[in-house]
Amino acid sequence: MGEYFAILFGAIFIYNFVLTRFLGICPFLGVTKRVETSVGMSAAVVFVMVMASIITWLIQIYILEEFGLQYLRTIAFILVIASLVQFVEMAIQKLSPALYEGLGVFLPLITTNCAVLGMAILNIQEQYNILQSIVHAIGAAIGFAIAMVVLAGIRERLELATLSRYYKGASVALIAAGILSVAFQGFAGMM
Amino acid sequence: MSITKEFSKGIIKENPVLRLLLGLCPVLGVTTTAMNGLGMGLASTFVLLCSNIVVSLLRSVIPKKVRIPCFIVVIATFVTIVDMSMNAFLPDLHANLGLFIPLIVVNCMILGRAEAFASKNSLPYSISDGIGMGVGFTVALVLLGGMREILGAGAIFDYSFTPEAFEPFAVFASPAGAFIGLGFLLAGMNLLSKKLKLD
Amino acid sequence: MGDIIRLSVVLALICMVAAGSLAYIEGITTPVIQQREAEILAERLGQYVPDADSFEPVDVDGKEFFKALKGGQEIAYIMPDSRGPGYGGDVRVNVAVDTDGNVIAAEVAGHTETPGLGDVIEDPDWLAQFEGKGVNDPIAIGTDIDNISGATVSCRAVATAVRNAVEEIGAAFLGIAMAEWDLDAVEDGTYTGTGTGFGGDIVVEVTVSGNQITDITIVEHSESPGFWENAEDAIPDAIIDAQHYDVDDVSGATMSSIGIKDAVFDAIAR
Repeated sequence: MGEYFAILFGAIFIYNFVLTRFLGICPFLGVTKRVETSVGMSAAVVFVMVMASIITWLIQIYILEEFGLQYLRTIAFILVIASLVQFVEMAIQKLSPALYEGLGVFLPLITTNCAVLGMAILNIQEQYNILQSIVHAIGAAIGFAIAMVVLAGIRERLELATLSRYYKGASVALIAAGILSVAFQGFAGMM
Repeated sequence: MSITKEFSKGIIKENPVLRLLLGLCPVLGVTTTAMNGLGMGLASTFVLLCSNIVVSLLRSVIPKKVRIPCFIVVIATFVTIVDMSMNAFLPDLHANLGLFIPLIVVNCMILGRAEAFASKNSLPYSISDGIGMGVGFTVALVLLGGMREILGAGAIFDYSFTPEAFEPFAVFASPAGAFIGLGFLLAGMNLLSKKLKLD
Repeated sequence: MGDIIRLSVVLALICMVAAGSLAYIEGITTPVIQQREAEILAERLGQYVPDADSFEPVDVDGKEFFKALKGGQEIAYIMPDSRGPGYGGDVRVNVAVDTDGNVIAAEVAGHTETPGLGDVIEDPDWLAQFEGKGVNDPIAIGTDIDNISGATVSCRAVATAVRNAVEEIGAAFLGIAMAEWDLDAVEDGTYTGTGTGFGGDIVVEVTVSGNQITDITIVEHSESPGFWENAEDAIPDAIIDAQHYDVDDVSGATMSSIGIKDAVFDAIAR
C-alpha cells in the first residue's frame, strides 16, 4: 500500500510531469489561457493516460518482450496511443455527445502530447507491474491537471497586468511556470 | 520560392522554438548544458531531415486518409535508429538525454513539417526546409543550454571560465531555470523580431 | 471497398519496411551496446577484484551476484547492493568475497544518511577494516569493527550489510549454511550470545528447554543507566513470550533493545 502511495504522490508532486519532467509542455502553454479549457484538456488526458498505461503495458509484456522485439517499442507505443485516441474520440462521440462537446476538441491534440508516451515509457523503464503502472498513470495525469489548472488561473490574472509587450503571452507564462516549478521543488525533500 | 529561402526561414523568421513555440519539451528538458542542447538538436535535425526526405518522396503514394499514421511510422523509425545508434556509439550523451530521445517522435515540430511542408513539396525544397528548421531548433537549444550552463555552473561546453569566487545561480541548473530562461529568451526574440520588422 | 484495401496495403508496406530496417540496425548496434556494458561492468567490478579477467552475472533465488573469473576459475564472488537499515533509509554496500568466504573489498554504493555525519561511512580507510572478515567473525560495530562516533547507526548499517553479503554469498556459492532462527533444531542447554548496544557489547545467556526459550539473563553490558533499564525489563520477557527474537523495540532505548535482540539471535542461531 505504502509503495503505491509513494508512486502516486511522487508522480503528482515530486516528479510532476509538467514542472519537473518537462512532459506535455505544448498543451501546457497552448491550452492554459482559460481555466475552463484547461480543465477540459486535463480530463481528456486523465482518461487517455489511464487507458494507455494498461494497453502499452500489456503490449510490452505479452508482445514485445515475448518475441524479443523491444526495439519496436517507440513505434508500437505511439501507434497504439494514436489509435487509442482516435477510438476514444469515436466512442465518446457515439455514446455521449455531451461529453464529446467538452472533450472532443482536445482529443486529437493528445496524440502528440509527450506526457502520454513519456508515461508509458517510464512505466517500462521503472519496471512497474500493471497495478503500479495504472497508479503511476493516475498520478501523472493528476499532476498534469494540477499544473494546467494552476497556470491557467495565473495566466487569466496576467492578462490584466501591465507588462512590457515583449513579455506578453508565452514569455511571461514560462516565467510564471518557472516560479511554480520552484514551489514544486519544495516537495522534493518529502520522500 | 527559392531553396535558400526555405533554408534560412527556419533559423530566425520561423524559428520552430523561439517563434512557433514547437517542440518545447526537449528544449526545456535537456538544456542543462550547451553540449546536451547540441546533441539533442542534432539528433532532432537528423530525424527531421530523414522524415522530410521520405515523406516528400512518398507524397504521391501515401493515401490522404492514412497520412498521419504513415508519417508517425516514418518518424518513429528514424527516432528508433537514432536511439539505438546513440546508445551504441555515444553512450554518455545517450544517458544524459535519456527519455527525451524516444520522445523526439512526439516533437510536434517534426510531424508539423511533414504535414505542412514535406507532403506538399518536392525533394530539394523538403531537404532545405528540414535542414533549416533543424538548425533553427539546434540554435535555440544551444542558446538556452549555454545560458543555463554559464549561469548555473559558470562554464560553457564543460569549460569553466569563471573565477573561483563566482557562486553559480543554482536555480538555472534546476527545472525552474529552464522555464525562466526560455521565458527571457522568448522576450528577447520578440524584441529582435520587432527590430527586424518580421511581424 | 477497394479504397480500404489500398489504404491497408500501403500502411502495411510502410510498417513492414520500417520494422525490417529497424531489425537490421538493431542487429548492428546490439553487439556494440552489449560489449560496452560488459566493459563498464568489468571496470566497476575490477576495482574490487583486480586479479579477475572477466565477470559473469549469476542469479541465485532471485538475487543478483557476480562471479569473478580468472582463466575460467572462480576466484571471488560479488554481491551488489547488499542492504542494511541506516538512519535515513537503507545503506547499500557492494561486497566482494573470496572463495574462502572472506571479504576482500567493501564499498558503499549508495545511502541517504545525513550529510556531514552519516556520510563518513564512505571513508575507504574505515571500510578497509572489513577486509579479511569472514562468516565466523561477528562483523559487528564495537566488537571487531571500530565505531565512528556520531555515526553509530550508519556504521551499524554498513556492518549489517557486509555481514548479510558474507552470509548470502556463503550460502549461495560456498555451501556455508546461513545462520537461521530455528528453535526446533536447538538442543536443551544454555547458550551465550553477543550483540552491540549503544555503549558496547551486550552479552546474554539464553536457556533453551524442550525447544522453548525459558530464560534470558544479561551477563554483561555497558549501556547508559536510565535508558537501559527499560530495555532490560521489557525485551527479554517479550522474547520469551513471543518465542522469537524480533519483538518491538522499547522507545528511548532502541539501541539497547536491538543489542539484546541481536545477542539472543546470536546465541540461538550460531
